[in-house]
Amino acid sequence: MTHTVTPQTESPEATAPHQLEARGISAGYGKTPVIEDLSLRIEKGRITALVGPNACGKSTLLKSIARLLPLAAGSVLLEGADIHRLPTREVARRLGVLPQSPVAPESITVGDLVWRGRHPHRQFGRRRDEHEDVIIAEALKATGTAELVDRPVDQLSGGQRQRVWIALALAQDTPTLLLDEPTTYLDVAHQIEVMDLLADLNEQTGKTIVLVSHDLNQAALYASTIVALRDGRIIRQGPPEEVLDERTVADVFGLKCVVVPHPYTARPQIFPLGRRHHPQENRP
Amino acid sequence: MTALDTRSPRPDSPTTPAVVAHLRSGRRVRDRRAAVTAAVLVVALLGLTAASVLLGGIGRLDPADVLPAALGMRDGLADYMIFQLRMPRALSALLSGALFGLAGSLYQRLIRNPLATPDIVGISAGAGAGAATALLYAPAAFTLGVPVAAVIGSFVLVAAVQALSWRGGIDTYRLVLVGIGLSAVCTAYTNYLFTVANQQTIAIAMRWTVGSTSAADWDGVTTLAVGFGACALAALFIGRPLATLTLGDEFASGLGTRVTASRVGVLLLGAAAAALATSVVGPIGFVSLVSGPIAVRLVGTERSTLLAPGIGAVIVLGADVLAQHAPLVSPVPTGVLTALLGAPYFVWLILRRRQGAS
Repeated sequence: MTHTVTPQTESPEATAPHQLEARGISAGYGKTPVIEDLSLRIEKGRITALVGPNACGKSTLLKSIARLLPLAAGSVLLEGADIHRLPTREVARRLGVLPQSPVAPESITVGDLVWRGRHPHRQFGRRRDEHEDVIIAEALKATGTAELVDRPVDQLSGGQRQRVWIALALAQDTPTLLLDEPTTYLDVAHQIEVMDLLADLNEQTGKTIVLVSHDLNQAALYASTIVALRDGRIIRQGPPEEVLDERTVADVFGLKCVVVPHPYTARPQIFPLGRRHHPQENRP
Repeated sequence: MTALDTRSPRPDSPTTPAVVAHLRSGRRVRDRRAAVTAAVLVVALLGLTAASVLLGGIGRLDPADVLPAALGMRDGLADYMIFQLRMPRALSALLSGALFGLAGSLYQRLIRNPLATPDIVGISAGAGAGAATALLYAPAAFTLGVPVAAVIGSFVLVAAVQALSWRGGIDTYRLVLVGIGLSAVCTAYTNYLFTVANQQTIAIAMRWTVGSTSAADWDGVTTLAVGFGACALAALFIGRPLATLTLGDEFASGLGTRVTASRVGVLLLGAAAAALATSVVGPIGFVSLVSGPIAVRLVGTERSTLLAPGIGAVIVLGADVLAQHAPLVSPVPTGVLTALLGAPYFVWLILRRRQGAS
């Protein structure tokens, strides 16, 4: 499989089914577009990480392809069909979205919250059946939250809560899952726990996962494709080994660094070089 | 459904059937608690209705005459007082309370804040202004004109509150402040109407200042009953989209809910419910504020909207009985009593929020 390094190079043989595709999209808040004329293909069954500095447009891009933001131009294709032409419930059966730091209703229990994920699959007046409870149970088990079913969500720890939200997204049972910074506000152990969980899901169910990440090293460890953005444009994209080098980090983040392979996986890991850590420069 | 069972996150993780059984039993427990609570509310409402009709308040009636009259065995004054005064009053209190409770619960869940109820954000005052306008200027269409004008007035207020408090999102404090301001404008307008009206109209319209069930009649009961039936049905339809909206607009959209349509639908439904109640009994304050949180306490947020109308009905009917019989103060308008009970809670809510925010 070949990876396009720059988004503009159209390889004619790339006819494999893309799970999600953005074609020349522009979007933003108010009148100023955050991303302009951006194209991106998300490969099926992969984990794709959108990375970049603050305000680079990575969340805007995620929301745009999740049809949470209206497009000023261009189109988004979900499994080949224009996402804005599909009925919103139909989209919700194929594409799950976990927004950044969601808030649960006061005193709702874990079971009731995760049950919300079944919304797009339910028809009015139909009662819940055996099948639905099995899906909820599987989602709870996969996220290790089965023991918490009757607990109020507002009494859980940050890590537990994030796993409950992911359980909700799993209960939605979509082939594609988009997550906006799923590890924000978590300590490092819980961050790794959440990332491990997403990798398990990807591996076991073939779920296509797209996530916005502010942590380059985690993105490099877990994603099979990195998409690096700056100023609303894709600077580089491809597998971490090809994309994550000193030049890209300097181009995208304006940060000097050393890239070292991970001791076990050989995936690239970056070590930032601040003013005080740079070998060529004198310390004050 | 794709299988997720090959690698359990924990060695002692329960089996899927065990989790399913756990889910079901938890749900059964909560369903049963909701059913028991509903049954208690129904018994309380029956008791309060009986108390209201037997004890009365308007006029003197020998309690010994009440039951025979209620069964149609007496004619004349007793019959008139039971069927034309006391029963409509009790039923107006019950049904308006149910509408206020429903409206409050819908708004609190949609806006995700216990402060954001139709009475606090000015919807009820707008309905009162609409009702008073219709009473003064459209007497020909009296019976239908007043509730319709109240609903229109509430919709105008929904639009005004939204327009004035929207800055790319709803900040609840701005919403409440704008609501209080607009509420004052509407009350001032209603008071102004009184200055130009004749004495008889003023007597009828006074109920739209504080809220009272004393002017209840069967026309009002019919309006409330039809209104409650329609609003409750609509609430059943909008319940599922509303449940997703309680997770926030982005989440709701991701779950396949048409956010704008559902949001507008809930806002207008809650406004209409509050307006219909207001058109008959006036803006009885704080009922919609307290009903929802009490229902949440009793049965949890998931089932609270089903219970909130019952809570509201008990509050208004109970307050109405109290208003007629409480020592020292009676008779007072029902709205004065609910304000006495609800205002401290409102202040507590604000103080608690302030502490939480700082």
